[in-house]
Amino acid sequence: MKNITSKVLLKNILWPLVGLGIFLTTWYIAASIINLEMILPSPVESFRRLFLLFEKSYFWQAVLGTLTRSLISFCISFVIASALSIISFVFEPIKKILSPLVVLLRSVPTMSIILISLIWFKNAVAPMVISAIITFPILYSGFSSSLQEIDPKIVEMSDFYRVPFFRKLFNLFLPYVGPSSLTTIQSGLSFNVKLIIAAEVLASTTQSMGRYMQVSKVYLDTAELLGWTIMAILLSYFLEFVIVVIKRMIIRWK
Amino acid sequence: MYLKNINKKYGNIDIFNNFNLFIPDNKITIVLGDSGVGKTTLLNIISHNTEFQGEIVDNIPRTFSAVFSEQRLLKNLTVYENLDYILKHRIQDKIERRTLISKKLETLEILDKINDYPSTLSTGIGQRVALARAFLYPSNIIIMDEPFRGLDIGIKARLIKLFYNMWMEEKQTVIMVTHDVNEALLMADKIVIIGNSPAMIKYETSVIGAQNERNLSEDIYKNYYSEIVSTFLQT
Repeated sequence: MKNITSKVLLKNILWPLVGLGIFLTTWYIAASIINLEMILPSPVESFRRLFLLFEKSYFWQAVLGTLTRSLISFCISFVIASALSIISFVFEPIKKILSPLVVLLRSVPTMSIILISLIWFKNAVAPMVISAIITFPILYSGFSSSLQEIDPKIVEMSDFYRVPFFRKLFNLFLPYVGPSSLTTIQSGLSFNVKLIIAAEVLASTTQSMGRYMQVSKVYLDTAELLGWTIMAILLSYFLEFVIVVIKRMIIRWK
Repeated sequence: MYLKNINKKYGNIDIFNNFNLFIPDNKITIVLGDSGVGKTTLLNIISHNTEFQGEIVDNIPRTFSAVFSEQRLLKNLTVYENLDYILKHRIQDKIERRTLISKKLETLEILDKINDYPSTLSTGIGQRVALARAFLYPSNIIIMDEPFRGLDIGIKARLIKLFYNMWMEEKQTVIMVTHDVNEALLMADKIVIIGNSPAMIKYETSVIGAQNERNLSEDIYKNYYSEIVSTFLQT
């Protein structure tokens, strides 16, 4: 038992920490060699600037603003993608009708969507529209393949025994679709944060991480820019972590 | 139960054309036939799970349960939860359901597996759970679609014995399809062999009868084996 616990600790905590250590050391050595904070500040300096930002109220307002926009746009994309994937799963023609649209949205350059949205929408709204549009095909494709996980033979058995719809929904459909959908949501959420920040930079959205990153760039304050970047990574990691916890809570049969 | 002038098509292919069959109540009727002859379609017609033309003449209302060739257990539910899943809407009282499920699992000698997930069960044990499901669900007809397919002879014999023990309690009408002649001889009150396209009855016994004959005794073999095997081979 003790042996198993130590193996799990080694696999899940120690090795990732070693990887992180290698990355930070490489960064530190590179910063020492370049020795020019404007080009590459050391990780120590970047973290110090991040901790300084923690004390500022505008920092938290920006983080909250970005997080809110990210969640709103993700929810919009999630609702549309899940509804359309279910409809196209049930009605094959809808799937065919949607396929060129999905291919189009997937292949159109991200920057085109960003620039067009900046022309069409207000600065506060544009990042949400942009990330919702770009995240949609990823979620739609992910959910569509998750729906294939539903075993038609189990559905047939349930129908044979006249199992009511809501029991099928909670005991069959959601548990079968859930795990791979959560994986899609997990990657979609962190991708969404990156998109929102990119769009905020270009839209110069008020109370946003993107805007402050842009300001840092203008002032060539690379250390603060990296501080904001670390915060963006932490934000993505936090959202992914929430999904991992949900996944562990609901998947108990493997 | 009479199946009268049954017609069923898949596209342009006639599966059944004016097909007639008598299924005796409270007996085990076994339908033998090659793959693709329409055995499973016949079960779907009997259980009203497919559209067809024709008539099923019956004097009592029917409720169905089924054993499929695969276990068809929900991977995310334990054995108990799998059985409760199909029972909840038929039996409201939770304690009653719990008692019934435990009792049935005990009869099938798998009570110790009650909290196990399907992925941890062997094929034979999984099929026992599927049998428990069919017998737990309040029904008067049990449809069985090659329920012992792919099982080792030892496991199959044990399952057939357990099936009998449970069936003897209520003697539901059983309709089972298979392509294993030995299974048919071992289990059937009545054997029907179907062949050709559209399907027709090539051979049909009357009710074979007494329980004590249903044990691969010399009589069964002497009376039916050669006739059934030769007819079956011709289909």
